[in-house]
Amino acid sequence: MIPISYYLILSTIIFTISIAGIFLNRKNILVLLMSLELMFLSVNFNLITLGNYLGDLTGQVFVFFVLTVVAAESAIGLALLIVLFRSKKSIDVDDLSELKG
Amino acid sequence: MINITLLLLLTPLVGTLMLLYLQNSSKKLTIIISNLSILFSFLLSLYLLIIYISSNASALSEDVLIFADVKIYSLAFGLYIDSLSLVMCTVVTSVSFLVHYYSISYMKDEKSFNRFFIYTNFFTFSMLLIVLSNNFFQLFIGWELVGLSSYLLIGFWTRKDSAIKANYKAFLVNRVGDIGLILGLCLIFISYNTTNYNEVFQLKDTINNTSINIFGYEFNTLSFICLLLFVGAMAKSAQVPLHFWLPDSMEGPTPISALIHAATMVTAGIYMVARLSPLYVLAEDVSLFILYVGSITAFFLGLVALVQNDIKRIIAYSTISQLGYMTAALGASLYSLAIFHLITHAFFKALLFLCAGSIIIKCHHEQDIRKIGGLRNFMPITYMAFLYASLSLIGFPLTSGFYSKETIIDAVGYYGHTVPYAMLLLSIFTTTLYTAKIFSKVFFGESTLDSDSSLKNKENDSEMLMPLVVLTIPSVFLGIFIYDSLMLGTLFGTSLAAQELVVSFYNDYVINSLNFFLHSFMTINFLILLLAIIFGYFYYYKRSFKIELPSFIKNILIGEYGFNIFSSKYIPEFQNFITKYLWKRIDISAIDNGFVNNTSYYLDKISHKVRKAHTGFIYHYSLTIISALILLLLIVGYKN
Repeated sequence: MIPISYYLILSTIIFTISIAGIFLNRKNILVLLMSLELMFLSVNFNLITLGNYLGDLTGQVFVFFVLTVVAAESAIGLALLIVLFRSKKSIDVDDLSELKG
Repeated sequence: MINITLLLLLTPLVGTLMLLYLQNSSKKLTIIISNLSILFSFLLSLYLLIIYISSNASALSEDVLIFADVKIYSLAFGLYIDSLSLVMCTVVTSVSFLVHYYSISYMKDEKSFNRFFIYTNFFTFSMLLIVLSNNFFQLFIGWELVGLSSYLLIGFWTRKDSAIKANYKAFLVNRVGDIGLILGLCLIFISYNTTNYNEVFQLKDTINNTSINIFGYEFNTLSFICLLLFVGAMAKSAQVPLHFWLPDSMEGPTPISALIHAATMVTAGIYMVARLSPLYVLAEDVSLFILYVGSITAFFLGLVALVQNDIKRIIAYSTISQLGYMTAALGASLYSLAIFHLITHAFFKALLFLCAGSIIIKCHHEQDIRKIGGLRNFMPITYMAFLYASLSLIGFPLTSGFYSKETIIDAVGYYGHTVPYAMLLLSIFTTTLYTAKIFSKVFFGESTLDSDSSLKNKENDSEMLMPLVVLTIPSVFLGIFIYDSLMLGTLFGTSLAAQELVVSFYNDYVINSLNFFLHSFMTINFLILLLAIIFGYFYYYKRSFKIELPSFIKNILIGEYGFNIFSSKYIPEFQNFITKYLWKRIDISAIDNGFVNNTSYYLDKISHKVRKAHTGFIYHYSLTIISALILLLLIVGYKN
């Protein structure tokens, strides 16, 4: 049996990658949305792991809710992306700096 | 009794409020309301006085309304009814009524006729509030309200520059006295835990033995209270060195000078000390101080009147000097004599002022006695009234002023106060001399005014003359009428302390009023009076000789012992200095620049720095959010 720490370490690695993706990504909003998606997945991974470990079904059921929300969120994100592209003709993150002080 | 007294007190207030609401109505309505309210009040006080004396009732002190009830203390509005307060009420309301009636004619050409009567009605109410008060707190309220009405009435002619300066001066000098009064009040409250007169009087002996420590010096508490309260009385009753507001207050309309600055308000200080006589009689050192203040005021400020030329200013200095007599009587613990002189003085000095008003109206507001002259033939009634008032003022035998003033002088001498006695005696001479000066210059001699026809006309109208005639009666006859009962203590016996001093003086020296009158012709007082009359006759009337005072003495007198320059130059300069300092250092530097401008300046600077953090890049924001989150988690984790 694979020890639980392996799962948790994997989930942390995925989470860190997604954060790094947000910070380091200077190119494009699509990557940003993908990183967010990855972040949610790592959290889901945690929920499943710990739910199984503790023998509690709540955690596993909760994942479905999270997935639903994530699906809705990415739908909105993509819709925004399309609107943005229509108005700016670009999806570069660097071009989105209207709020600069 | 309480209810009627309450009615007597509140009638002028109701009158004031009605006048306030009917401000824009006709003069006729104003006249009716203002005069009737005071007349009603006068009749009630006369009625109460008669019942009180005839029924031999005892003093009554009752709280009518308690408007703040704290555990250790209750703030009450109460009435103190005894012969002293009722006599004062009668004097105040009677003079007030006559002055109101007189003002109908005197003020008839004024634009703000109605405003005048609002103020005077309000003044009468405030004065009655002082007189009828049964606790120190109410006394203080009344004290401030009469100060306010005096301020408003001195500055009644708001466009007259000198009047505005004068009312400002009166207000400021009275504030100095109020500091004393309010400190005394605080000290009373601290040491007695009450402000009710009767409760304070009951505790007086226990407090007399305690002392308080001020700046390392030990003082007897009771003496210190008396001294502080007397400072308040000094300002209100125009005693040296807080007297210099009173001559300037003559800038107000003449009826006001008669009512407020001669008959009633300025005697509030005398009344207060007499009311608190059970305390003052124990404070012997303070009494001695009061005696000296009074006699110095009586003599030295009487002298100043000799070099003045404004008719109202002369009478004002005469008022200060007469108030000095009352204060001296208070200092010698002869409280009933002080009140006696207060009563007679209220009548004859109000009469003098009203006569002066009549003269001023006739001469078209000319007040310089060097320019007025020869009025005897045109104004016979004013002339007679002025004559009787003057006789009473100089203490000519049988008049009211004679009984009150000569008794004070003789009693002060009888109890061995030599220096004050000498000063009071000498001031008979000055009193007579300045009276002779006004009299001979105004009613005899030549007028240098334009001899237009109106001046040669007949007397002023009857509304103006009626009060003069009525006031002549108490000015001349009141003294002999109440003398014996007053001296024997049947009138004020229970309400004033140390009545036995007066009684023993009466039994030993006076015997009775007639005897006092006959005896007076053989005293030094009468000799001085006679000398002064003869001197005045030759000097002012016949002008048979001239006396040139040494210039430095004359300058001192004209400068009013330096109080003139002190009050019109040094105090304003000092005030300018202070206000300039406050304006530049506090207002501009600290408040405007310090608080207001600096706040916006630094906020602006900070926001210029902070806006740099708003890069507009999402990853910067998210980095900040996540690193803050991590930091927060670390802190929370560290704490646990």
